[in-house]
Amino acid sequence: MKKWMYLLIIFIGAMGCDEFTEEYLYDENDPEYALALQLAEQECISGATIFNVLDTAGDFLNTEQEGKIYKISQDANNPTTLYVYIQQVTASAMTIAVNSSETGYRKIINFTKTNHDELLAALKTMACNSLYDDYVSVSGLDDNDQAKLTWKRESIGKADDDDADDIPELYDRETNVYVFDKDLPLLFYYWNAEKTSKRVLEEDAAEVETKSVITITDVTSEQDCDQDNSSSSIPITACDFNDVTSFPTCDVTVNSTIFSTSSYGNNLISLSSTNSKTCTLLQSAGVTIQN
Amino acid sequence: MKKIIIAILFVPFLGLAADNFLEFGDVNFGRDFKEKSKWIFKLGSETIHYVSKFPEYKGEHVTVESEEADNVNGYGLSLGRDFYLGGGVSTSFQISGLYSKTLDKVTGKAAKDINIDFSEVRTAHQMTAYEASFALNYLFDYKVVDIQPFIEFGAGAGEVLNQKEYHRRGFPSETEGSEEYNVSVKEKFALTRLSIGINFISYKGLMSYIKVSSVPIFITKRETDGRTNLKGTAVYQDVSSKDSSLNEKQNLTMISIGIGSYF
Repeated sequence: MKKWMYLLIIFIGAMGCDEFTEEYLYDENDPEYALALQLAEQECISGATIFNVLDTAGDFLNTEQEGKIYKISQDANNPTTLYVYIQQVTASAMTIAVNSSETGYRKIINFTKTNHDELLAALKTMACNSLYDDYVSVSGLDDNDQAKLTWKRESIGKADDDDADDIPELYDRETNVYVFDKDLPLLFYYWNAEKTSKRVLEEDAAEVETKSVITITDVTSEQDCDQDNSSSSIPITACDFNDVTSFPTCDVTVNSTIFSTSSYGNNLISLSSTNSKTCTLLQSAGVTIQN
Repeated sequence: MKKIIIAILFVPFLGLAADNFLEFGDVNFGRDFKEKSKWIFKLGSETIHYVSKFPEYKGEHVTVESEEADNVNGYGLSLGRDFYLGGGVSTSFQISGLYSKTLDKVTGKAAKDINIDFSEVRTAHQMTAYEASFALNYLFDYKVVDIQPFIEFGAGAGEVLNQKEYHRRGFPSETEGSEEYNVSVKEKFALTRLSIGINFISYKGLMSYIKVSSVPIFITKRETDGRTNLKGTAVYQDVSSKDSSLNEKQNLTMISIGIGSYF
């Protein structure tokens, strides 16, 4: 028995003599480095299941979403409820009505197929271009339902002046986690989120952390509509989208390269009113710069 | 590797330690086997320093020289008969087989922070050989483990298959950016061998050995099969060739360690 053990030692030794090594072909100074980045991005995108799923889900010819109403609830740190109604879906655009007891959030959003494509393209780049790895990450690339974008942004008011901890003296930092869900229009990522803000706005003050959790649920009954709108001075229920003519109409602009910096307040989308009114997506706790 | 060598050379000591712990007296191999003829079986690990011949090539990430030296690792197995001649001298006749297979794979990652396998070079050697050998041995009969230096002569034949594969993917923006080198060279040879070595033998006939060999081989046939392609061109060059009447000599060095048993 012992002899066979020794034989085994030899076999294992001989088998271990194959060599597998790795070497790096290019570095940042090589012109091929940018091409390699491009290739890596392409491979990552083509290999990610979720992008195909979101692409298909964004087929505007599919009118399944039309007529649906969603309730968007932001938690107690900045309690807000929005009701979102998919008014119309055509091949080129989706009209989304937003109602709320807070009049500032009422609007009609014109979300185009182009917006959808640009948003998805931005998500792909954020997920797959390693240049942004320091402050952007996307999980769920192999998922069939949703991708989760984590995006860190900051504004340094005053750099570290004592070199003791390498922490700036004054800063605004936010870490937002957005969920891109195949069952919702891509624009809804903004309302399907957790937004955390950490800030020191006065020297020697303690860091203040605030967080908003925003959730989206289907509205399936009238009871879902009334409860948050009871105090509204506007004589429509939250789910009644029959008279929205007074709402400002807002176009969506996708800021396709805004993630190339990690500046505080950067947002992938911004709204602009077509009739000189205010278009605000949602104000969250602690986040000072909003659409 | 060093640990394995030490472990193998320790085999006879381990056998003694386990089976004769605290026993005194001359209980070693010499007492039971020294003056008898016996069969011998050996199994070992072989490392051969082999020079392969490939068609030359200069790609973006690999350069193939016409001659490339590599260490080829494998197993050796032999069976023979040891004849005792007297005065500690014995001679043994053995037939042996050798099988070696070595793969060396180098993966070219695009960059340290870009995890893409952009190129790959695989170099593989597969050698089989068989031979008959004759050895002269002298046994130093020590109390714990016997030491038996030997000199060995062998002759035989074999063949080796050397393969080198390289590919570069190319970037999407490059025109004909990919590269390929895919060549296999099969050689047949006759061999002679001269070895010196030492057997370490325990009282039950369990043994280990180490030997160094000089192996002149005479390559009689070489068959090259493959094609190559360089960046910037879509043209593949056929580098296949066949030479059946070679008489090319190459001196190989081989180091062997292993274990065995007299019975």
